[in-house]
Amino acid sequence: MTRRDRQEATYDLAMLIGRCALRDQQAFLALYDATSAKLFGVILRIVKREHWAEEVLQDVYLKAWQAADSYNASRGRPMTWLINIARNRSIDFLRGAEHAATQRSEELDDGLPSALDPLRAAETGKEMDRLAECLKQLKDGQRECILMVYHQGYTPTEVSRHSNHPIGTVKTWIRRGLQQLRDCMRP
Amino acid sequence: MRYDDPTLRQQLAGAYALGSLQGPARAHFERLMEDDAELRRLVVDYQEDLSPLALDAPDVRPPARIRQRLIEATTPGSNTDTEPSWWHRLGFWRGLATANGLLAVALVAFIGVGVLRQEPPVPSELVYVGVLSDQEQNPGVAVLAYNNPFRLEIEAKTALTAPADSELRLWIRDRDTGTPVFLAAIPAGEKTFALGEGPWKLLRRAKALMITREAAGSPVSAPGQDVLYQGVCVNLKKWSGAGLGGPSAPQG
Repeated sequence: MTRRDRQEATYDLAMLIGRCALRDQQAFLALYDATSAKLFGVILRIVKREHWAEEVLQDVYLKAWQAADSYNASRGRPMTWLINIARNRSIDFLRGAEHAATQRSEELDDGLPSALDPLRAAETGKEMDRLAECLKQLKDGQRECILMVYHQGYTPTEVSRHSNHPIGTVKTWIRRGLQQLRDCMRP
Repeated sequence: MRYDDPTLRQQLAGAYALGSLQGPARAHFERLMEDDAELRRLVVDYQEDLSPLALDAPDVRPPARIRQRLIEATTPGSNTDTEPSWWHRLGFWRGLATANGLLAVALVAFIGVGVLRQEPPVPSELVYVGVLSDQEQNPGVAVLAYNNPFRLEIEAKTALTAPADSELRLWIRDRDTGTPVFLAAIPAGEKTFALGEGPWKLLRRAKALMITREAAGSPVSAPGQDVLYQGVCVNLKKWSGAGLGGPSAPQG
């Protein structure tokens, strides 16, 4: 996808969100058709269970419908805005009362290795290239912690448990890793 | 805790964007962001930087039943449809109108393009939109101009009223000269009213709209001093032929 294509896609999504603010249901459905497969993939990667992901996805689009009038360019690109809603809702769902007591079984970690492979990100797009390059510059522990939080929605405590590193170390790795990422992405 | 410390702000913004800031701390941070545009920008920067990780997730087509549920939920009158007031929706326009001018115009135009592109062709199109602010710069009136037939719709945050011996008048500000030109008198108590072809053509020349209170029957050659609202007027149709790659690229 060229920069021009990405810009036009951004314009298209911004336009659809704007029309959602005007309560245009056709625009809302067009937005859903254009983005739901990606968001469903993002949600599924966090909540792991398809019926949970369905519940979260529905919630995400209702939230987008209701909050469309609050969207503007200062909130990031449209897809980033939608992804943030999806990630936040997924994490809230996992940390909700109903699921707080549910211990994640080992099978839930099956998808971890491929999801944590930053090199996949390098396949498409300059931004992905750059992020993958920056991630590679982090220490292994830093990178793993950051990706576990981002992809799996883990808390630092959960990361500590799954990675067998002390919680203090995990928190430090996340903090320093984020700072290094930022310095790398925005020199 | 000192939230004006740049290092701490960076750390919190990063943790929030990543998702590692949790519970009460996350809620507190969200409250801080509400009144701190710079902090929001830091968060958005991190979110943008990290977003390729999410975009890397494989596409998974959701079941058709989700779409159907959303249709039902967003159909007006449904139990779950939370139709906001027009002014709630106006927040979107207001944000655009008070933001960077060109970006605002461009984005409003994109929205307008969408309105104009609705299928099948609707008998009436929204062609001009004006968001007018009062003297304190608070948006108070939206002027929507439709064609087929030509008409204006006035949406006011608080009812527009004028004493019995006066009337409210709508003016355009000419895009070239900046001179106010009389457009129409706003009928008392009317939210929508017809516009003649002459005034409609006048709208093409409008870069801004203005509402004044004038003595009834006074000349319409120029407005008086009692300007109630004024603000930018956008020709949506003008942008419909410009394509989506408009002049101002909204960057993340």
